[in-house]
Amino acid sequence: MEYKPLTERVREQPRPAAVWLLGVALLLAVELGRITAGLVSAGDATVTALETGYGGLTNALAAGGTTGLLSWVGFVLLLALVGLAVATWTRATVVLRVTDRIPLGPQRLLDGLVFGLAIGGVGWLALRTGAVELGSNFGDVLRSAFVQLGDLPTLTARETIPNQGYQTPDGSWHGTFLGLSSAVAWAVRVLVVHLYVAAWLGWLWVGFQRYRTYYRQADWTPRDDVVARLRYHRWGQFGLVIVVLFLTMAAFAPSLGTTTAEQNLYAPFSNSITYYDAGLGQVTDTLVGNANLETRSQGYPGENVGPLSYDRFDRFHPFGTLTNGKDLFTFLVHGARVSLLIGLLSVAVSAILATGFALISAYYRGLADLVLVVTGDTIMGVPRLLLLILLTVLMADTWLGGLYDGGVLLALILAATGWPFLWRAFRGPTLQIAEEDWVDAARSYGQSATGIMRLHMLPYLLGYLLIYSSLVLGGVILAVAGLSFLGLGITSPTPEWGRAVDLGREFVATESWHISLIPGIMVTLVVMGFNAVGDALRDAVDPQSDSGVADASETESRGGGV
Amino acid sequence: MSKNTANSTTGADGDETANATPSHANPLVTVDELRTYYESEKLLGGKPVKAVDGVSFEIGRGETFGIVGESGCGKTTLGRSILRLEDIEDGTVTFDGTDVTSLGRRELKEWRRDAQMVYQNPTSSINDRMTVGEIIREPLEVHNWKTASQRRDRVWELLDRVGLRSEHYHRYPHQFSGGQRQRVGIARALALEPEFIVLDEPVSALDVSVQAKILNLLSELQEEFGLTYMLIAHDLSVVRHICDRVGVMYLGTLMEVGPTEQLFESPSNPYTRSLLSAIPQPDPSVGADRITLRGTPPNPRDPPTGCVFSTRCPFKIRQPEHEQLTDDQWAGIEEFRRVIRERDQARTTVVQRAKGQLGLGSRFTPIREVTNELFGSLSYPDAIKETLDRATELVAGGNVTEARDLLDEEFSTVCEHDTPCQQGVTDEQSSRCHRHSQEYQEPGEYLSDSGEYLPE
Repeated sequence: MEYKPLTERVREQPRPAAVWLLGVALLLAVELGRITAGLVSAGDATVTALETGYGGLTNALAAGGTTGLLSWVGFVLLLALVGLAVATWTRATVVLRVTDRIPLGPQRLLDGLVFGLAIGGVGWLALRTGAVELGSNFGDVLRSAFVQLGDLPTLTARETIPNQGYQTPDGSWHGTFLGLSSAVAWAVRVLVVHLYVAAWLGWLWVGFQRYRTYYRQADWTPRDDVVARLRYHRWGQFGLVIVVLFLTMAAFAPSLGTTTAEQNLYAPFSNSITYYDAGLGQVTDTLVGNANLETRSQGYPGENVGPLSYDRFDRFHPFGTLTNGKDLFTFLVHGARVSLLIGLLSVAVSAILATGFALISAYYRGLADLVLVVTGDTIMGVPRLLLLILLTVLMADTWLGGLYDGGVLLALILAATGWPFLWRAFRGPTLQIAEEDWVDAARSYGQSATGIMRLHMLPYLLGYLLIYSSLVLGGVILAVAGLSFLGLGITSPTPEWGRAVDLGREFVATESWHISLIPGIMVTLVVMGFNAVGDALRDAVDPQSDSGVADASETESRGGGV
Repeated sequence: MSKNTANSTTGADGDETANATPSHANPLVTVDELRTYYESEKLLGGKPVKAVDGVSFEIGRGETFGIVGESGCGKTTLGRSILRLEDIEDGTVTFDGTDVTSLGRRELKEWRRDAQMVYQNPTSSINDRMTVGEIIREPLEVHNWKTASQRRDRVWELLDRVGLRSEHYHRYPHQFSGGQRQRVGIARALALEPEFIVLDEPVSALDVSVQAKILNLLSELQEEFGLTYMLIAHDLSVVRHICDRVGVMYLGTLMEVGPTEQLFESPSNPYTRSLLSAIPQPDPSVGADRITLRGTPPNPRDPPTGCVFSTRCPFKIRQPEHEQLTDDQWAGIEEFRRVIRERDQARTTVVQRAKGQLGLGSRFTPIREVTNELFGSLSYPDAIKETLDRATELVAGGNVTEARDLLDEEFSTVCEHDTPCQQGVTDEQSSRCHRHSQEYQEPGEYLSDSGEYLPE
């Protein structure tokens, strides 16, 4: 049996792959409008950023005196860095072809400089010859085509299944999907969204099965056992369901909300709704802001819109309204997005830091390890909540504090204070891996330090990375909610779960109990879900580690939060 | 061949420096006074562990050189030090005329193509997350060996050469047996066409049936590619089977070096004799009495002065007036000295000192109980008895160091004073033992004299 590339294996037996790809295409097609719209906005953002960057660069380079000089130096350094990345990644070298008398370190740097200058030269040529102009024209044509595609109807869009309408006295609904009531139309849309997600997950599973049956050359890999163990992990599956629901909520927030965030949360006085006014006996318009003022939940029967009820403007509120009359459900689904983005950013940054530091301390040991241990323990030694509050307040007025309503800052602060917990969890296993003979063997045939870390140590850390990241993610969501509850972190009107809990604090014992309780339960469930998934992954990847072990490092990172 | 003159520093028999090991016209590997110390407790002022302490030998081209010794004697560290996988303290390793201990990073990487290692444990020596093909290909990639397709062909060729099939290229190591994994490790070591391979107990983790196959494979490969091996082993039969020459290690020191058959047939060093007598005989009624060594090897952090084997040596040189003591009597004295030495050393550790200051009791049994147990059934000449009693009194009075000094003065000989140098016993065999000096009896003669042990 000789190795054949996957493409060749597919060519020999194209049917299962073709059917599967057809399914994927179908799933993509029903959401094509949304996907292309997303691509267009991402592309626009990139182009704008590039233009700003290019404009700033040309200005800085054209400036005379010290500024110009510094800009040139910085520019060349940046190019060299990019070149170094390219040289390291491709392992290509120019210098070695010319002379082999230069030691390895300088040779790398020189290679980086050569590659960087080459990249700069190519860029300059492209500018001079007008290749960039040509490219930009082509891009414009492409963009207009994409915009056209973006207007296509999509399955899960609000426009396909509208739920915002009004009911006339004869009981008939206007403006809703098929004349159904607002609540039913909304429920249908929610159902469609979840079915769509379920279809994707199911189809991915089918794809894995097909790959395993028809195309994989190995009869068995360790991953098969991992999957098999996950199939019987009920607690993990429960967590997985919660996590999938949460992710769906974040991904499809605009479709899931009973109303749009723009209309209901951000600019209620710039949007209006149509409703049947019983007093006037006719259909009229009103500003959303004015309507909100009359649908507030203030804790007594006269002024409360509870869960699963209509307000007097025929708007359906699955979770009731907030104290300021805004829809709680819409608030929560958009808040999920904020929580998830902050959580992912923060966990990604701290995981990268923790992995890098763990590899360094395990590979080099000695002084490097000692410095990291002292640094990490110092950060862990300071009460985290105090540090979070301090940093949030200190940095709030910087440019960083303005990004994403303080979300980026919060994520970075959480990462900066949270990486030692992850690093502690990684350090032990990494030290163990560094002891293995294959690391020594790699050293014996001259593999570089980075090569050893990447090829022979990192793969063994990925399992831990996944597990602890999912455990920490729950903690971060909790921390963000906690900070918002204290009035720090994400500023109004950006929705954040913790703030909803805070808003409803006074009304817990009244008619308007839903304001605090529902978001509170959701935070708890999501954190629990992520922990359950982390547990399940750990059990699946490493069956010897019982979920009941009292491993200090594990409890440390599980505590997460503040 | 400067090594013999280099270490002929002992006073007693400095005139006896003979040309010890056979002079290879052009040895591939020359190890000269190599020392590797582990300084794990440097910050706390602890002594370094002397894993390899002044080892010299040569390995000729195409030769298989064996290193045997008990576990913990520094065999593996020696192999790793030669490959520069350990930071060495002192000494040189010359490979094909180049001093590899002074190589820079780049030169070292180039040199690594010529010297490879096969590891003991096949489960931990290859990375489970890579396919067999990737594992064997990696050294080639590290050294930018030719093109990608040529590398793949090379791996297929290697797989075939070590007795695996090319379809194993895409398998993962966990699908293989121990023997097959070891073959993968051998293929990886061969990938860069090295001249010299250190085999660190290559078969000791394998089934006996597989061991022979792997050993035969190694022999075939040696013949085919003209390889030079350094085989580290504790299994003496394996060493006898494939090695041309053997070095015997004890506590970081090379005790004896010689051609395999010669060394097995007529060992000259006391330690080699004891080691060889430990080989089980198929027929218990035939063969020599076993030389049983007392105690365990000393701590390499604190090796004995003089000859490293002096604390356990049954052939130890005694002062003339003690020659008449029986072995039991002598053993009792040696044991008594060992106990006192240990107590003396323990007293100097931080914990013991702190315990003493705090008035906490020591963990030692009272000295009189020890002496009763040791000497209860033995009777000694009066002079010796008196010395032993005085020493006991001193220990009971808390003067352990004085007791030690007293006993040293009474019983110690050249074995404990001077480090023996490596002396030629025959043309090709050399050994470290004071008994090779003219004023003492050779170990073999001493044995037949005393009549207690039969030489093998």
